[in-house]
Amino acid sequence: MTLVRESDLLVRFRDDANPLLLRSGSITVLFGRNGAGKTYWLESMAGLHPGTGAEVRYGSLPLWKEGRRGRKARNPDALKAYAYSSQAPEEQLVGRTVEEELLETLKPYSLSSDERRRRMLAALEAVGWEESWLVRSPYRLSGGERRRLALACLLVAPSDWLLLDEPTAGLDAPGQEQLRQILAERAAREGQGVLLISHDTEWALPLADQVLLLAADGGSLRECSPEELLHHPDWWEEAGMAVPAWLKVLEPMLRTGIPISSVWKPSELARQWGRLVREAGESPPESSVVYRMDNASARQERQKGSRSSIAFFDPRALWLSYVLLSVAILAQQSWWGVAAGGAIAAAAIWGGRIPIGRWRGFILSFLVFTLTVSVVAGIGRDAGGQWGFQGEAFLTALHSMARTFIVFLLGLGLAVSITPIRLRRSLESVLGFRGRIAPAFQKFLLTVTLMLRFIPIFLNEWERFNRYAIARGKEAGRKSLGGSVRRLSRTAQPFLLSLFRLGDQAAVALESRGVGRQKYPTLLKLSSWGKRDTALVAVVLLLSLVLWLVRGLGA
Amino acid sequence: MDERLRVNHLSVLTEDERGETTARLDDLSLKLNRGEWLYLVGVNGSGKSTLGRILAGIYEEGAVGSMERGFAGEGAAAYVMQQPDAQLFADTPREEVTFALEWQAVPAEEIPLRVEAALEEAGLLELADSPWAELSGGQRQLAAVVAASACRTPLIVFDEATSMLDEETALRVRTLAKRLHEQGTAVVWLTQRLEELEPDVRVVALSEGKIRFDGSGREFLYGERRDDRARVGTPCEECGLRLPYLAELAFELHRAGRVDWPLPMTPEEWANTMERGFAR
Repeated sequence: MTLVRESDLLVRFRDDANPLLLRSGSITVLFGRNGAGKTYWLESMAGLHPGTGAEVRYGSLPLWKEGRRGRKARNPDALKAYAYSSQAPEEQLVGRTVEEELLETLKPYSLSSDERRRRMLAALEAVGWEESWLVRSPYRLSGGERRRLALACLLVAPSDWLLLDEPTAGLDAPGQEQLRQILAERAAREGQGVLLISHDTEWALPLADQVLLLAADGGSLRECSPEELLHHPDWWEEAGMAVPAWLKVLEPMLRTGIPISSVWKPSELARQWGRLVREAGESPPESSVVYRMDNASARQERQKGSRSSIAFFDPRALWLSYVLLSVAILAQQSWWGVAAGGAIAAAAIWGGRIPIGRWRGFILSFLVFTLTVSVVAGIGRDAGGQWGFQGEAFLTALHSMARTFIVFLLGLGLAVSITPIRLRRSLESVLGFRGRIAPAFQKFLLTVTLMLRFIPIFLNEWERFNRYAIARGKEAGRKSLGGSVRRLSRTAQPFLLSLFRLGDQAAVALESRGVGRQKYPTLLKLSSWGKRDTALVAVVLLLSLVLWLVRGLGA
Repeated sequence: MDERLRVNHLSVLTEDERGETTARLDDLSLKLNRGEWLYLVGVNGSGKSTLGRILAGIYEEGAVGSMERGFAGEGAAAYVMQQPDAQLFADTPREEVTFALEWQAVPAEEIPLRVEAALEEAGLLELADSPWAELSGGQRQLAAVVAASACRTPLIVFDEATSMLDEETALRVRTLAKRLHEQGTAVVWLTQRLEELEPDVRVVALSEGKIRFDGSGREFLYGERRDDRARVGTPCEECGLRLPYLAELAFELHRAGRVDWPLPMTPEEWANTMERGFAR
């Protein structure tokens, strides 16, 4: 049993297995193929994904604690044990000055003002800046300078661990060299642990004390030393990656067992050139361990998503059904009618396997909104002119809001299950005339389609920046109103900027596709209206008629 | 008539909120031949993306100077970006390519067949009707290439199109690009992966909005031939890019008198060089 120090990082993937121990003061590099879930894994180490199955501890501090009502909650003290840098950390800058930006990172830590100042100056110095930079505005820095500021933010925190996701991507050669020196110094002199993801093997491998290789399916993790990895090109392939080109070239040399130090020093290797002996050298003693992880299958499930069964109907049939049902539901005057409408909506969503779970938060906020509006509507004077809560008015308001809510649920279900482009095509075929469609309609339809298409991407972006806000703000959950507001503002600002970038890229892509250059693009016909579409509309028509006829009953 | 694509004395100026102008491209001139393959390299902020967009014929605010589109023709050329998600507008590869062809006003009856053929060529036919969530990043990027290049391609610009991909999928995107090139398409390939460069293919390197180098891939890595075995800065390093490990090793071997000019660059050349590393 190895002794775990207070600053080490300990990960137990399954109850029965040996834990992975990452020592503070060492540098660990994670390699893995794209899509294997490297970022997800690193974010799990930072407590940004609940329910990953792995038990993570920073020293004696568990990352997740049993909270109130038995729910798992993040442990703020464990979150403070690391500083996190995402793939494009400069996207997260929110302060108006460099000083504000650094203080933002320091906020969760209770430090004296002297200590804060000392740390800020040290962080600036590490990235090659002087005190005078404190008053600069992050928005007036160049891209490279913003990146440096993000690095300073990482270094300013008094944490045991530095977690970095692809830190060299987008850095120029001097920037990469500077980062290498800083990380090596942080590990060696200050005893910080460094855990980083990289695809840049030339840069990362010489820096690493140990290497983690994530399997292609994200289901297992191999821990080994860089030296062992050099002698095992098969481990790259095992993880679904090609052997890096430079290592492939060196392979004949590596097999002779030349020491790793001369691999990292080309001048050393050149000196031995022509004298190397072609026989298999001794491979280093093996200590590589493979850890099995539970989360792989769950993750794949999550990625797959489900395909709704109502997507097989013609979008026009679905829209017609939606309109019919909505009219009938909105016409209901009694609570019985609302209940019937609710039951039909629930049956449609459940029976059609419509994946609205993704929109849970949104639906909940609409529900809260519904109730709030009703309560507000209930406050007023009664017949006698007395102020107070009027049950009657409240119920009336709730009744109309409830109908709206049901129709909203149905509409949401329709929107998530009809793909935007099919929707557009069906609308075009309704609005088109002789194979053409008026440019104004065309523009409108295209805009709507693209908005719908990008909503899931926006949602992902929002969640991404929200995670980063947790990693930086260190708050455990949405305990206090102030905390929620702070997290919201830390999320919203980078999110909006990211929307602008996305919009810009999408506009460029559309332009390069020639969208808009042709006044009359080709109109494709939808696959024809089938029997099942007629059946669907007939059933819905019948239901709506019944609902319509009974709308006044019991009111 | 000169059918080259020519950029003449082009600057792209950006004005910030204080009214200060900075030049993203600074008085830059470049000629591109029909059917040429051009590697465009430089660090972030060097202006290579801006130049890539301009070569693709995409409107860039603040651009001054002139450009003759030559063989590339009027209107924007095909352009593939780093992030597949921002450039996919449909929900499946088949829909995406269909959407692209619709906007090229391809007759409706031809579209399904052409979509099928294009997806087949990219090896995406099996996944033609899978939603994006079921495709890997590389497969989505392939779909973006197919859609971008669908049916009219005197020129295609790849803006770090492989930087988010693993080597295997990156190779597939590149193979597709090479195929377009063989069919006569000019390819502008923006990259930070220097291992993608080829010894005898043109490289243009940018730094601070200016062209710092325009020559062969080998010269970009190793500079001009020198027999005094001195190690001087290469065009690659002068543009702020890290010299790849193998290039560093080649210099050391040259300095130690183990290899001669031209220094090795391709896997085959390196395999030969390695042979000579062993005692006979």
